[in-house]
Amino acid sequence: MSVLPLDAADEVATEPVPPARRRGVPGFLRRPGGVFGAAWLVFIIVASLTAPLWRPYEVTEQDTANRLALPSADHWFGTDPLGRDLLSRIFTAGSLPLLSSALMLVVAFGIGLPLALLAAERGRKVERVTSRSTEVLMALPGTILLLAVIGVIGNRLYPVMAILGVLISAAVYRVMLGVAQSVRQRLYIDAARVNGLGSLRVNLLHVLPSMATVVAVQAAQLFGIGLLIVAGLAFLGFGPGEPEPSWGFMIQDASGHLFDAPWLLVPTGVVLALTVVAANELADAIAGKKADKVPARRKERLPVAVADTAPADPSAVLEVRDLSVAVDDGPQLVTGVSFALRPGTVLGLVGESGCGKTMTARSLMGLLPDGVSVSGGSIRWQGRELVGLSEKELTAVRGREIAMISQEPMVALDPMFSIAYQLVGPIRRFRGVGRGAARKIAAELLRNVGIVDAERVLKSYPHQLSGGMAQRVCIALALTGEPELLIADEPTTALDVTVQAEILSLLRALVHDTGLSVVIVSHDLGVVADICDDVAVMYAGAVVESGTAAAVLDDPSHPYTMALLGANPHVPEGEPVPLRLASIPGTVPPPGSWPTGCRFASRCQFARDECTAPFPALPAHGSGSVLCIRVDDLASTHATWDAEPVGAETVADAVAEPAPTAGVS
Amino acid sequence: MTAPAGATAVSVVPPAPALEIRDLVVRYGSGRKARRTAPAIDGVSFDIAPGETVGLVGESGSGKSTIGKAVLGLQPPTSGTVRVQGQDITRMSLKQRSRQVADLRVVFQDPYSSLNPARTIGQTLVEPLALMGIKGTAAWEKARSGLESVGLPGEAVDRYPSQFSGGQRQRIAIARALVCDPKVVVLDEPVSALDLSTQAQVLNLLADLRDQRGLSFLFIAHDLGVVRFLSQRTVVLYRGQIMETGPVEAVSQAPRHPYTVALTSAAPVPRPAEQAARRAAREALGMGTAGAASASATGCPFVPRCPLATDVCAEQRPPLRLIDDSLTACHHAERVPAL
Repeated sequence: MSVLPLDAADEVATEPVPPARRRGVPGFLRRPGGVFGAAWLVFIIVASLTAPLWRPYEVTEQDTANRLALPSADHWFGTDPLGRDLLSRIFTAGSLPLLSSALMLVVAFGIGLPLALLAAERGRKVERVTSRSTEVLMALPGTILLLAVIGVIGNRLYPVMAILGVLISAAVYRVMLGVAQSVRQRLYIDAARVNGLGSLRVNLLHVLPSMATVVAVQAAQLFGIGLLIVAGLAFLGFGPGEPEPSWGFMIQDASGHLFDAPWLLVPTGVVLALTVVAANELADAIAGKKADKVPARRKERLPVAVADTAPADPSAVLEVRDLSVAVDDGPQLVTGVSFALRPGTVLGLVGESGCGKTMTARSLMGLLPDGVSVSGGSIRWQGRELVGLSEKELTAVRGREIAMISQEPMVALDPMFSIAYQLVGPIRRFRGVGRGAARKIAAELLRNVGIVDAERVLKSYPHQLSGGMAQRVCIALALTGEPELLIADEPTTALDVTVQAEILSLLRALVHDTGLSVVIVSHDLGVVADICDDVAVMYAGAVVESGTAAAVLDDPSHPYTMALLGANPHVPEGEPVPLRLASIPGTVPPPGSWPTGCRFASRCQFARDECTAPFPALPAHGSGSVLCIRVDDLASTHATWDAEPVGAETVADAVAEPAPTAGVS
Repeated sequence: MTAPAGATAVSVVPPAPALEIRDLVVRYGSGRKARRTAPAIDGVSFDIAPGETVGLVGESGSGKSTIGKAVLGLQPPTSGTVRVQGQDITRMSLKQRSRQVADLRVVFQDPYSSLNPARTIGQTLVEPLALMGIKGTAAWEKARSGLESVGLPGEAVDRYPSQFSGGQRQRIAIARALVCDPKVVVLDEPVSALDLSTQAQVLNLLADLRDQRGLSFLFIAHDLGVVRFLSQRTVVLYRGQIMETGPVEAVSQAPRHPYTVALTSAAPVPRPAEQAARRAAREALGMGTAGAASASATGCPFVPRCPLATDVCAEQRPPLRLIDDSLTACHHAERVPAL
């Protein structure tokens, strides 16, 4: 779980909300592989340990008339070269590899796990000592050491496997250290420490449970490896001596009869293979607990019913009409979104998380996540319809005509390559120039985005840049194809206010100097006021109010816009800070549970009965619109969105409905 | 730095402040390398009176979260003292603190990683109570009433964090901080991961709780507008040093330090005409680009970005001086243009 970007819900909303946790049944048992693995392991363990109680023959009992027999009613699995019953021998032999592998696991985790927890807790100094010690262990040649140990102490499998456990503990430590360190970064660990929990309890209650999955996966895999090692040792003759049965020796025995009695290999081989496969299947099932969702393959684009294609606004460079975006075979994420962008202007898409602004912006470039697609409406770019274009046709548009910058500049740049490398590639591709010319253009682009020492920045790698500098580089990268439209998804959210102001100034200068058009996605009304000419306020997948930024922000018509403005603590100059800020009760309804009428009605101070029936958007702010049936009432009464009275927040109210964010964690 | 004398002059500080920070220095790492690099916190002193909220603002890397960690004991200070209600807790272990001073708690920024997803809300809330000797039904009763006091139903004790939205989780984190009736709460960016309307709910809740219970907040934030809403006084931090401190209205409306001016003027307001005027004013100031160059060790850390900087600024570190209502560490505070 990483730090959540502000707009994460926009991404998350595309995944179906998982069903509430089913009590009692662990997740891995809901997968066929997990059921098989767990069932077989339980069976083989129980059958092996109880074999002396039920086996049909003693392990040394010889049926000399039936040597190397095939399965029969007397001998279900057949017999070996001495006429001994294979069924009895296989299951009697099982307890030794199973128990000694378990012992190896206990030793390996008994050493590796506490060391890892200790090193993660105590930090660098302790970690350096433990890591170096385990490196020494890992450097030892395991097989040779094991054979040497057998030479000294003899064929005693339990001590040998315990020593193998010590050797493997180094590898366990390595894996567990990484997990423990990342778990300790989580804030609930700090919160527990501030609460005064001792080191042991922090580890037992908070760190270990979060590592449980990795521990289980590792254990199941190592168990399988342990079984193979025990069998291998017995195969080489380092197992229990004849006449005691062992899997390894039985396989070795069978290999001598490959041509005259091939069946002999089958029962032992299948049981050993099934046991190892079961351990690995179980590990996979436990590991897959989180990552089981196979992403739906991107479907071939279905022909979408394109609405009336005559441009309504001839001056618009981009015109979106009745755009709908939906999860394939799932709920709609964006419905009936319309807006127009004039050349050389900036349009803001504004709203809270989960309102569909990012989905709308991404659909403009055909960059929707897998399993999500445009389900209706039209996107006209310079008179061309973008909805329904093939991936190839869209690639020609992306970068050259429409470019994009994202919220996290550091994620957008590849940490492995220098800035020069990352800029030169696209420049050569888009502009068809040589390497030297491309490098000159790259330096020029960096200077255009306000980077003074362009040559130094070209040579540096992303981690050497500050967040503001990285975002400037990302803007330069977006400009490599000389696009006419830039889509900026929360371009300043991750930056300090001072840096944000610089980036906004840069964008404004680009719009002014080059005639670039920009669609900017933001949750910050201040950013919208600073840079946007027009604004579309989105709520629950629909545009609830649109118009020029000045009209919408200075004179909001929709209650949602009023509430957002009231919630902003930046009061006008000279006014005192209010005692309480305006807020909106509850949360944005998730896609799929939108009501038929006004989607904001359940949270609206001004909602009436008539708000629950469907109604069309009304014209407002000149060329804009507003999606509120009571807009005239509210305007005539000069309604304002009022803050709740002092103390209201501490009264338990109806905010307890399960929130739609379960997919986040 | 002689903050105590000055601080007494600006605000009425009663005999025992709820939280007292004196000459705090924090260096990361150890050995020779740590001594060569500039400390993360460089001699910071301030007090918080009972029932008062002090906002700690600055850009990322200014050290505001480090101060919070040092106060909580999550980051050992190199030197200086931290006192809660007059008691020196600087060198106390976290365990000692919870036994002897149950007065200090925390709310973190990220509501998603601050709650253990494997434990129910109730288990999370009774955990600190058990350490204080409150167990069984009494503890669970307290957990329920704690949830109700932050506007959530008591039955939520049986649910898991994944069943709550970001704003609701932050309410739960607040309930966890308040369940043992602390006197001082460190709020480390408690609303910056939340949406605007949810942010307003949580800010209102914090203000209500503070007023009802007489809590003292150390409110760490990067947004001066948010700080102005919740705080009485504010401390502006740059590269681990206090640039300006005083009543929040004075600092945010009539800043005396060029850095505070840079911070204030950069925060956008949602009124296009006013924002255009602010932008023009900001661009006229001629502030240097953030993160442009590293500062000299001897002078003012803001020199590379400051439009008013002169030779004296690079040579002498300016002391905190009382100008009007606030303390300002600037040689040229009198020449700073009005907002």
